[in-house]
Amino acid sequence: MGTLNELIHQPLRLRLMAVLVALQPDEQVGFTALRDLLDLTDGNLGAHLRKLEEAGYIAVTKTFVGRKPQTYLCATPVGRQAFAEHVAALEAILQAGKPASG
Amino acid sequence: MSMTPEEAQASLQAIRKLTGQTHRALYHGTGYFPIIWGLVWAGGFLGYQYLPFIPATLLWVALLMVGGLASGVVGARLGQRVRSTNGARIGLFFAVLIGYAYLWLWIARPLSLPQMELLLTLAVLFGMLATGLWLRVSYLIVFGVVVSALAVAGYYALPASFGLWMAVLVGSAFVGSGVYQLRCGY
Repeated sequence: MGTLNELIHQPLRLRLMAVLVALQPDEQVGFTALRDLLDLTDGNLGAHLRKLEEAGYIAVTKTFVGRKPQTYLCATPVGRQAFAEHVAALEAILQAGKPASG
Repeated sequence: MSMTPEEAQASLQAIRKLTGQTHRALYHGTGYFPIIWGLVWAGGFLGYQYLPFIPATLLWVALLMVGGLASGVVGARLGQRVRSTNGARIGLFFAVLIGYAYLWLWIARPLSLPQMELLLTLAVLFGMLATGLWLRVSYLIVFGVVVSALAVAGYYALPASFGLWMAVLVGSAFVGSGVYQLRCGY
């Protein structure tokens, strides 16, 4: 049974990781599209992305499209594994039908 | 950190909901590609059916250019949301495949125009089937196999109306596939 991941457990970061893990491994999502999808402000999204990036769960790529700077994000293999373990822990809690700690 | 089963269920539901929302929001628009190419193929094959050879060929070239341009515009817009390293590789794969298909046609000449049209169509459909196998997209696999079978059937069963058959069959199959993708969010 996986253990609950404290970093991913936070509701907004859980949503962030859910979106990034839903992409194909070779895909990256634009910062603006992610912000709009989750209905967040730039600052709020940026703060949570930094925490996930520091943990090695996401990769941030900054590039230019024409003259406009663009930021793209994706879940790393480490992040995908951590998220999968977190989901497994959630499912185990649900199946056990009793409170658990991780 | 502790969690009740109710909280775990709520988290899992949130994840499932977001996975669906992600597909609908981020991939919405990819269906425009098959719609564009369905219209190009329909126009091209109708020209082949009803126009003399040279105007039909010019129409094909013009439609291919318009299709390429429209795909570029759609691709640029979608790329602002999601970009993929596979996208460039798939484009390169199709370019190589078409190049080889023309080489095979040249080696196998002389071929009749219907034979050339069918072989090029099958090359593109083979590309879709291979892409489906590569990316594990089942509808691309089914699409490639079914439309290939129908194209070959039309070639042998309706030789006099082959262009019309291909315009209706391939055109509507591509457009239908695009509409399906737009509705499902892929």
